[in-house]
Amino acid sequence: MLFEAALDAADRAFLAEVRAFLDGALDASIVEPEDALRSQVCDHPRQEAWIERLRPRRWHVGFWPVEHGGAGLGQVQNYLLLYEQGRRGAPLLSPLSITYVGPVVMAFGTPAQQQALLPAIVDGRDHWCQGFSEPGSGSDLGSVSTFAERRGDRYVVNGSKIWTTDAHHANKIFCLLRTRREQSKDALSFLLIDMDTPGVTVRPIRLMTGDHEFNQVFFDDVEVPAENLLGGEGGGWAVAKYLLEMERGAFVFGGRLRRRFELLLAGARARDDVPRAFWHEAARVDVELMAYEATEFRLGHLRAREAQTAAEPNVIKIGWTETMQRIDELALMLARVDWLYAPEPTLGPGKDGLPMSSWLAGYFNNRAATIYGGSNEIQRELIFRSLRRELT
Amino acid sequence: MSLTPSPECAALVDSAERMVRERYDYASLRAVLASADDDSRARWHDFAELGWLAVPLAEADGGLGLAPSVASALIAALGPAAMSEPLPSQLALSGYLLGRARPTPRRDAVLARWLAGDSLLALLEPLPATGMVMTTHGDAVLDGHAGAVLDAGLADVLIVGARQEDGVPAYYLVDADAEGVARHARRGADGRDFADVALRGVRVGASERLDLTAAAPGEAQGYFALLLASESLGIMHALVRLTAEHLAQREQFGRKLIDFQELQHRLVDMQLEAVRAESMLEVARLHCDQGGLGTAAAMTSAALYQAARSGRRVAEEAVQLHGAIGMTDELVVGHYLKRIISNAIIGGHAETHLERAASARGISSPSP
Ligand SMILES: Cc1cc2nc3c(=O)[nH]c(=O)nc-3n(C[C@H](O)[C@H](O)[C@H](O)COP(=O)(O)OP(=O)(O)OC[C@H]3O[C@@H](n4cnc5c(N)ncnc54)[C@H](O)[C@@H]3O)c2cc1C
Repeated sequence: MLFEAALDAADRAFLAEVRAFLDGALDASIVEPEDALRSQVCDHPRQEAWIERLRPRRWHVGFWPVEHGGAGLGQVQNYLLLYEQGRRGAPLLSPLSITYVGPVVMAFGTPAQQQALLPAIVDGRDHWCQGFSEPGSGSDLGSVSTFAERRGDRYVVNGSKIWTTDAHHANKIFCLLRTRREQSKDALSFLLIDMDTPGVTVRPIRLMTGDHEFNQVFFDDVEVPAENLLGGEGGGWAVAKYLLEMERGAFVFGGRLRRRFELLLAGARARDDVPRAFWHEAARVDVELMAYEATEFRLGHLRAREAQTAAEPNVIKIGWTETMQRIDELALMLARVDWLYAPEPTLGPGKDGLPMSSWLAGYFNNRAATIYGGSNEIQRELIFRSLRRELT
Repeated sequence: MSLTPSPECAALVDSAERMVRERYDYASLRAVLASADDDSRARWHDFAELGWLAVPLAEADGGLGLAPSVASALIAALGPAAMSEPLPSQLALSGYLLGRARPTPRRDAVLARWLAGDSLLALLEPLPATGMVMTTHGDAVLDGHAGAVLDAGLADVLIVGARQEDGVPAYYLVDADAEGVARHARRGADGRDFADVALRGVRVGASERLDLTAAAPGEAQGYFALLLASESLGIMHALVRLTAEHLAQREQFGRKLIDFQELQHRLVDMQLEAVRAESMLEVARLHCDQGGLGTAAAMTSAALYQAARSGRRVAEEAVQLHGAIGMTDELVVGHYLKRIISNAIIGGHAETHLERAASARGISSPSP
């Protein structure tokens, strides 16, 4: 980590503790193999196995407060924990439950909701997926039309969500939907739905690589208890905005990208057909990656969340996604014909797409990164608005 | 002067555009790609009937004797089909190369079947990495292994390049199901056919040997580069059109996406890339037609490099501007991205082509 020399004694000691832990716990059965890097969605058994090893220290929910079952790590220590894991190839834990649902339940949930929902995430009983996007509402999330009609102590939900990552693994879905017909933001609510409720169906959608990661979810007269509302009726937009900030900024990707870059260089060193231009380009990507790592730490983790400006999650989202794509493009400079058809299927554990080199599949799959989590065009728009506020 | 295509060329392009319109929707292509075996062989008879296979062959061989620019225009027009039938490789690496060999009974028979759409060929280049060796002269025995050979799964006859003891390559026609030939076929990322090929003690006689000039294989590769660039260009045009249509139809924030100036400019940048690739391709076409494929190598390399670079930008932007639907296998956009990237990879290292173009044009650092 680039700012190691600036860490204070306590953080330095923590970093040593993390490294010692990883030396022992992160063995070959857990480390994500190169093949698995074709996607940012890590296979579930591997995630589960890793969570079991993190659990005694509560490091799978490291930044959660102790009273909710977390390790209560501060910003910097949480960063160090996540950076080191990514750097060393620990499975990328799905953020859906831990990083998205957990924090919004802490911020907006009633005490009863917190008691019911948070332990189920910590213990690994609940796996959530995110029902925001709809066929007609992508960038313009405020226009969602899935409707929840109040009938007594229940809501009856009709409509459809799409691009829902992991809906085929999850047992719960959180939805941004409409509880009143008019187009204002306070007609939106945040509703938690069990996937096994009658009327919920899931249609798989394949990526261009053949990988199955996302789905369309249909709701036909799905009855949901009214107490499953988070943030009150009409309070959905505030919850969704808070969650999106986590989606855009609460990750640590620097370590994972650094590992990916180093694996690529190691592969290049082992070959005798690498064009000279590759190394020149690699030098450029190395500096760009350092700049991203430094940005991620400075803007995302050095300061307390309250002191951050509104745009910082957006800056980080653009940073990691576009730097990742630079690494993928660098990998293309090494492409050989056998990457196209991978004589040995290099799908990686838990993957079921078309057999091709994991670098090539990674290049294709990672084109999605500048689209998901709010497209980078929308991120730039948000940064601009914040800049304009600051400058005028 | 004029760069307007000849009437013959225009007629071929017309037949290609009609074929794309009538026979190549993405839904059928998806079904073909999803099915285990390929039933596209029947299409080759149609290609033969339309005169497409005759383009690169001399009239003496029953061909039309047309210039490389005509094949290029034909393939560009077929680009939007992103078809699983490997026409660029068949025209350049099979038909054209075989046409360049001196007539022999065996060569003539194989070529006639190919021209009629009855059989497909695949070329195994005598790369050092393949380890293809010959153990005797005259009547030869072929041993070796070639990985990721284009069209080798579909082919009925292989053109096997092997290095002789003196290092000079010799080319033989070998039946794909001959004793000692083993093939392991699979589809590539974009649906194209590849196979690993192993030859174990395959006996070939002098009658199977192709009499080719030393330059012919390289010229066939130049032809192939021209056609790969052409196909990618056809796909670029299709991507610009599809993206414009998508932006004009999709509404977010109460407006058509096309009304956002940011997206207008991005669409224009895609078009500018396509123009760049097309212009470079025109230069290469002219050089191939006038100077011959041999002297045009720097230009075909430059055209392939430009098509790879522009093509990637156009296709990446098309995916981006389509949003999530562009990432799926349910829309042709993702397939186009895979095809453009595949064309670049099959054509060989972009950097190698760039270096070849640069050194032919005297752009290199002064030697120390
Ligand atoms: C792999 C993947 C996983 C996903 N997982 C989930 C998930 O789990 N849950 C979920 O709810 N969603 C998920 N999404 C959906 C994602 O959030 C949306 O794709 C994203 O918000 C963009 O919406 P869209 O795809 O409808 O594109 P559109 O909104 O239709 O946008 C199309 C293009 O227009 C641009 N654009 C739109 N408006 C503007 C504007 N005002 N100015 C300039 N440009 C504009 C966009 O940037 C984009 O390039 C996922 C998407 C992907 C690709």
